[in-house]
Amino acid sequence: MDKPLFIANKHGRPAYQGGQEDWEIVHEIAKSCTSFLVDDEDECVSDLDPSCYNCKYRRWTSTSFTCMK
Amino acid sequence: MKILLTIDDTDNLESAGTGELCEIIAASIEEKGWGSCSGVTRHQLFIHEDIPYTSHNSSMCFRATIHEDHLESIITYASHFLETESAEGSDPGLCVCNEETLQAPQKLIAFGESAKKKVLTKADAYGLAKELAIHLSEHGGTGDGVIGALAGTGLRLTGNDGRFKGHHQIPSNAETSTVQELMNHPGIDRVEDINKGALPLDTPVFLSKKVKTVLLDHQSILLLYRDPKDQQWKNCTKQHLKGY
Repeated sequence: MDKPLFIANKHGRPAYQGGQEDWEIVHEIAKSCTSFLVDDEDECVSDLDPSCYNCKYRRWTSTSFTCMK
Repeated sequence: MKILLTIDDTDNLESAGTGELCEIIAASIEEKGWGSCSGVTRHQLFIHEDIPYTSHNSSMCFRATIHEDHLESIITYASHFLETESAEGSDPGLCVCNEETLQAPQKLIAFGESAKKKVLTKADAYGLAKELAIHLSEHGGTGDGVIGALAGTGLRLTGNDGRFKGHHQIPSNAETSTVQELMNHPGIDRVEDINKGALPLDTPVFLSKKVKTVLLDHQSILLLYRDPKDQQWKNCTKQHLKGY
């Protein structure tokens, strides 16, 4: 069985399990996400649009990000 | 006199970003005839679960050249602006530092560098600001933004931290340019290989997507990389610049 992409953190928010350089996967996730909203240009770090890494609702953590939607 | 003005923690998930507010303050200073402002830089701070940042924990800073008579007006204006324009639930902080009278700038730089690696407190920030006679004020919420505001000032002072906000408009017919031509652009001080520094001035450069610069050696530097696929020199992408 594939490992889940997101696991709820202690606040119940989905925490991405693939780290901060999983460019292709988060690009695919964002393509099918109805909540995706691109962040300010200066906060975007992926060249693949759309991307969870460029989303206004991602909150960076020390190792990955949490989805705030 | 030269000042550094830095703000932090003005936004929430739905609002305009801190960088946008910082640019408005800079533009207002110029419109009011109080001085001239340089580009806004973004400074990444420590990502840690004990820090209540909105989504990325960065602060925004610009340098302004002003007449000293306008200093108090600028502080008053920026304070009021943060109180009225910061987003609900944010914890905005403002730092205004006179670079020319700053004693012990290395202490401010050390604070900024420390804020990239560890959790600091408001007491740490206010203590250093008082010691160095730097204006530091909070304008809503918990006021925790004073930590990032002071830290961002220190990081800007290093001349070697952060990315410039926004991107540079290069004429659309200049998809292919040279290092020399790009250095003639008013927002670009130097053009360098991301790995090895200077390049010959006649090096052809293929520009794609957003042309962004970073703060290195106190200058606005356009970094290039050599694309292994076609051996062309290209402007660095967002992924290349992520760590700046």
